[in-house]
Amino acid sequence: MNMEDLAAYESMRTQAYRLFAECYRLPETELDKTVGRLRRELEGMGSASCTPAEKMYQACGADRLETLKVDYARLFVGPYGLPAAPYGSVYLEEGRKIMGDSTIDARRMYMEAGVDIAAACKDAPDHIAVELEFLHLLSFREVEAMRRGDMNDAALMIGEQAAFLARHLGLWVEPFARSVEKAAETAFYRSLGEATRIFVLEDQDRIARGPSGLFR
Amino acid sequence: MELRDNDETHKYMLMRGRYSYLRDILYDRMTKIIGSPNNISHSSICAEAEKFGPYYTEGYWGYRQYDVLKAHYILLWGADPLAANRQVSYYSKVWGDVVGKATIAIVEPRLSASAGKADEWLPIIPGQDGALAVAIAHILLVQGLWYRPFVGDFTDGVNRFVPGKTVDESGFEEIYTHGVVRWWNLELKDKTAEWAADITGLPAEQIQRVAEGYGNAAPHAISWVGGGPCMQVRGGYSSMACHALNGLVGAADNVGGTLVSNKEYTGKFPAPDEFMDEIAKKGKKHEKIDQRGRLHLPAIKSGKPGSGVVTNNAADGILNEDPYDIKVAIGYMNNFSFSAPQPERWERALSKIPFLVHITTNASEFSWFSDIVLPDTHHMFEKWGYVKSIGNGYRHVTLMQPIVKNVWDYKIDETEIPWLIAEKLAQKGFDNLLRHFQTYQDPETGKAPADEKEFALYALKLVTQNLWDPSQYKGGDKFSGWEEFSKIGVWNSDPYPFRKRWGNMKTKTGMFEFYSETLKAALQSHAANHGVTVNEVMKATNYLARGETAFIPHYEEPFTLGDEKEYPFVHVDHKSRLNREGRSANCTWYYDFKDLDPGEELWADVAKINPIDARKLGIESGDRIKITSPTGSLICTAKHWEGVRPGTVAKCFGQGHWAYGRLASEEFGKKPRGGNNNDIIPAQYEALSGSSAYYGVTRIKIVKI
Repeated sequence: MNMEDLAAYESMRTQAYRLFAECYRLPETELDKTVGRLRRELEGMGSASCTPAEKMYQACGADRLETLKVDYARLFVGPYGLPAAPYGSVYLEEGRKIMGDSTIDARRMYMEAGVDIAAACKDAPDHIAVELEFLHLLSFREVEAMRRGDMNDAALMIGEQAAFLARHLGLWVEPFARSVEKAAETAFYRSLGEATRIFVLEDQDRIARGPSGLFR
Repeated sequence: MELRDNDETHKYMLMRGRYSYLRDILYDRMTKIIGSPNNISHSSICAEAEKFGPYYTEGYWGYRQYDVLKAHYILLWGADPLAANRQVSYYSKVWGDVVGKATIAIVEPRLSASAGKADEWLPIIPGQDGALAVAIAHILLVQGLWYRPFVGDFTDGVNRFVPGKTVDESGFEEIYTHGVVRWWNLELKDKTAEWAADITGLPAEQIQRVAEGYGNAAPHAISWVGGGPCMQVRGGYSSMACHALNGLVGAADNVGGTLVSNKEYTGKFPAPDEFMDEIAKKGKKHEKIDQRGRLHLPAIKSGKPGSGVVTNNAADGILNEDPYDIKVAIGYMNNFSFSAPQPERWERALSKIPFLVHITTNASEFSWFSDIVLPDTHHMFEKWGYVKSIGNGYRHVTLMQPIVKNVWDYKIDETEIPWLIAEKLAQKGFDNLLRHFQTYQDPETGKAPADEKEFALYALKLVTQNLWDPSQYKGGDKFSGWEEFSKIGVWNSDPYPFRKRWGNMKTKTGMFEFYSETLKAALQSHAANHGVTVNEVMKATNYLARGETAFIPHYEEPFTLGDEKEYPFVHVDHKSRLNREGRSANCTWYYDFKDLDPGEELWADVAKINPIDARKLGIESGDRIKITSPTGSLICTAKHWEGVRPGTVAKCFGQGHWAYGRLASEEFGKKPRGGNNNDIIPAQYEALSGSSAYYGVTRIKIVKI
């Protein structure tokens, strides 16, 4: 992969993180456009998550919005059971804890990167959508660094993504996504769980091979 | 908006559970401006009948405070100050001193926490409290132990209260009371200790001893009326009889006696009238869904027929669509499908409502049936509001303030949510509610609220202005302004003005009424509303009194469901000192410290059975048992315990949740932890106050499983 191809790939990857994050917000009327874009980015990257993303696309028509909202609330909001708690600490700490030490650590990493949870965001810092968005931010900075030819900065950003995945999302995405796949009542969320799991683990594996793996 | 379009605004309903005093925004103003009569509070599954006696004797509809540190004798009726009733924290703090200073007698079929430290425990047969109360009154009069500076005396100073003899009313000159001789003649003259002993199951000597001890302590002798004797089908008159003892010994409004609330000066929200359009006015005129005011449900709160709520009957109103169906409902901080007797009726009723919203901090059995659950703020950390409390002769108005940042997107029940609803209604073309809310201006700046957060704060500043604004000062603590008040967080009243109400009570006569002209007027008014006699009202409400007896504190046989042969035991419901409004069932400490309630076991829900009874049934402690009443059943664990009267089975309320959190149920949504007492308590009422009956209301049987 030459530098131009790499930048294009990384650009798709950063978009995929952003679009996955959007999929973990309460579904709105534009959901099909979001998923359509996600499918294209994943396809462009040649990710195995493209297959479940295609299923997501088939299942997210505007006529199904109400059903999707209900499933979203049941899976990720409550009030009962919360079969797929979207918070890292629930998986990383004992007793299904929220706002635990790991949550504070995630926020600390955001702040070290110069960002914080927006005042308008009414959720815990280790919500799946927030962590995916943070990876979008880091990968976006990586792409920007590449585009200005600053490979040291790009490598630094990749290192930060690796660290975040190793300490946070990469550690809990599998049990979380499996819970979504198991508990979802709609094909959309079942497939979202599968696509997220495949994409994040695939990405973590790729990044773990380090800069040499990326710049081969 | 659909309800408005169809002239059906009365089919909207608001159900209120626990609240702050910003309640009237959501409960009253919003319901009225939308155009519904259906603001249904929880009060009558709380303790309204307990207020009945104090109101129809001394004109006070509210919980009393008790001057316990100056009392010489405290006679407790089905009240356990260390566990339930009001101001538990205050009484828990001082009870050690009280036990050392005063003689304490407690009337309750079960050995409660307070009874464990009392001088006298009177384990009465459930429902017979009225008999004991009138017998004590009889003894006080016969022994000449009434408090003459309050009640008065025979004009010649000779006591003519002789058992079995009527007395000429003209020979007694009352001072601050009304009808003591008529009470004697109509009810008390034959009610000796021996008569009461047979009925109550208590020794006549103990009744005599307690009555004399109580009378000798006059006027520093409290008759403390808890829910026990009152929240019964025929509990209204027991409430009067037990409270009337305070009148005989001059303890009402007196040092070491029973006190009303100190005056406080919070204000009211702006009136809704000009924002109620024709649709709303028409809608509000419909009969309420709880059917209050019907012949069999007088609910005569504060003397006005049909003014009290009959909370639990709303379920039947909804189920039977009588007087009409409910289409949209909001409930907040309530859990009627657990906390009201015969809760399965609520399950069916809530299932029937097409659009139901629950505002709550924690999902519960009520939320289970809701279409939308709106998470609520926590009152201690996240909510603007204020509460009022009394104790030790003072009143306190305490601010609730947000002190932490919300983690999730949830709103304050009584202010932010109605504002946001008002905004949405305005967007849909109905802006009356929003325009009304915009009149809640900040008293400091005159600024109208622009969003829900400003509205919550301005509403609170507005109604508490008299407390913090020096220019509006009326009494009690004085502040330099809102900033100082919000920093200190509490306003304290002036000390209690003892004896100020003597001769000036809010009764028809201004006096403490042993013959209640106030109740007479109320009952006559209700009878007139229905074109019947007071006797017919008595009959319709399950009372046995006829004629003049309907207007005096008197004994009524308890109304208990279930045939004695099939259901040999009387159920005794009681509260846990760990229940705290019932919201602790999902906390480990509730189970870890459960044996703080006498007779209870850790991590178990036990029915306490006297060993004499248990052995006859072949039941051992630890056995799983099924308790069945004529209206339902529950499963729990048996426990041999001498602290419960033979023939009765005591079980603590609080467990038996099936959808209240991971810990509260054994298997969430499927299998409860323990049993809910309400499953065996029938939906019966003390109809004069509208209260649900919890005590002495049902017989039960026990089967080992």
